[in-house]
Amino acid sequence: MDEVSGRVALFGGVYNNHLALAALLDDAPSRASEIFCLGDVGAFGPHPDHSVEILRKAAISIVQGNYDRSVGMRRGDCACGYTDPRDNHFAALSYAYTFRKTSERNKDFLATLPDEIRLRGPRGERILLCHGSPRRQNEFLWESLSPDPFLARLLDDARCDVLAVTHTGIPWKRRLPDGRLVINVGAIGRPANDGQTHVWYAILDLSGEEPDASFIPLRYDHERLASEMRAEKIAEPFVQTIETGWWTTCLEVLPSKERACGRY
Amino acid sequence: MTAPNCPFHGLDSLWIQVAGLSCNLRCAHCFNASGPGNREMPALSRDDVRTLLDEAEAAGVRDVVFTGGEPFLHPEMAEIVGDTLGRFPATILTNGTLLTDRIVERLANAARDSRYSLEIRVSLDASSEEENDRIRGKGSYGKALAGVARLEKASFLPIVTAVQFGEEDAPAALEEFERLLSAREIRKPRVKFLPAFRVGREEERSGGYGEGDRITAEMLELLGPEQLLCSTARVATSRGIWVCPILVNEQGGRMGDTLEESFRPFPLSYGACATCFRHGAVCANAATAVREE
Repeated sequence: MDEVSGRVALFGGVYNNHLALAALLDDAPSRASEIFCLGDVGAFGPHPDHSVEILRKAAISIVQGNYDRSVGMRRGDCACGYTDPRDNHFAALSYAYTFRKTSERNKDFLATLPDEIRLRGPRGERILLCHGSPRRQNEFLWESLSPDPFLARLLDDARCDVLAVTHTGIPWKRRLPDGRLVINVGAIGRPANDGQTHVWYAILDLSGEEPDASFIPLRYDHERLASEMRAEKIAEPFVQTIETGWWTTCLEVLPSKERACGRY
Repeated sequence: MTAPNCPFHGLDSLWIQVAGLSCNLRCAHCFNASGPGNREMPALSRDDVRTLLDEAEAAGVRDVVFTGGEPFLHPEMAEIVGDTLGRFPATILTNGTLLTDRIVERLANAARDSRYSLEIRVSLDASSEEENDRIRGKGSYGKALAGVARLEKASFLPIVTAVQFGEEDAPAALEEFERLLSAREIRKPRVKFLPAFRVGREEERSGGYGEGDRITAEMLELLGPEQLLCSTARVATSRGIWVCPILVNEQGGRMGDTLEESFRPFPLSYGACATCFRHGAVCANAATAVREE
């Protein structure tokens, strides 16, 4: 198990946003000594191979997301866990595009990614990086649907003190009454449904008395991404999200508290 | 044929039959035959619910779902929701007809003070008044829509749930509902369809299940038990803990006196289990439902 100390950058949900990914690899090294990706390289954005190649070249350790597994295993859908027909309609559009445009070599690469990465902090803290939750790759951990006793159960079962996940696309953190820490690192592939065009990643700080986390807003050339998406004929609602910062799809999955914050 | 067992994976959702089987409506398809004067399961007190919340906390519960009967027949429902939202996310399944301005305001205050979501599901079984009231009773359509409008005004995002009886055209039905709600200035209409369970009063209408309507071991092995509510939920009533909200009238659905006693596998021997299996977890919030590949 790798030992880590100081500051560690954690990001997830690339969603083919190779411009945000490049911006992250410019920004994070000045803030952190190590960088980890929590999965879902593909989805809404353009040119999926660009993102996979950037991650491979930078030798970033990646946790396998549901999208990565589906693409890697040549499955029929993204297994995002939606139950609404409209969510599934848009999920199918972006999955078909990503699947068609990912090279066989990169599909094979995505298939080899691990389900989780375990790290050891400077005081022996057991740190678990996974995609959805420790028990399911496609489980959504929303802030408003994650009471402390439930999170404590997940951490107990997974035997960890710090848990970092992504999958929902909206960042949050919670310190449990016993001091353990849960972080949802958000996504760098699309904005957090807050009307802002920047995206988010997280810094896990292991240099203090106890582990803590902060969230870093990441700017990138979102206008260029939008024009690349249009050139690739990617569905217009996805492009609007990049341009406006408001989610237009995959909305039914949002709990009422998170959805009330968005425009749609 | 031996029924396959659904394993118990831990308590994600605690359902609470807070008002027992008492309801102000007598819907033609009600799976637990709730209605006016049904005293088979008395209501739980606020203290009873607090005790259940303590037990659920010890089990690491994720959310609490209030069902009935009609939860808002309970005189202390707003206080019970406040107790719950202080600790867990909650969902209320209601027919919407008792949602006065006063109760909605109290719910809104509780929701605002909580870091957790309060989901409110309002049952409406058709987008036309005539068809809805034929199933749910005269006047229920107008009252339920008035309840939805009050919730909207208080910044809730109510989910309208409708039972589907057959092979209706779901996308067209969804559009009809969304048109109806948009016309009533519901800004973010949310609609969810639920399957009909041929138990309770619906059994009288549809003739119930046949011997062939059962989950087999092969079916369970093929798709896995994760989508079944009984793998991660239990229902608390004044008559003990039951396996799921659909089987509260079946003695075999009773799992014990306490939550802890109920945390064990359940034999999927009922016709309703097959409906649940085919259509996914009963009433699971879209946000919390998970699907394995």
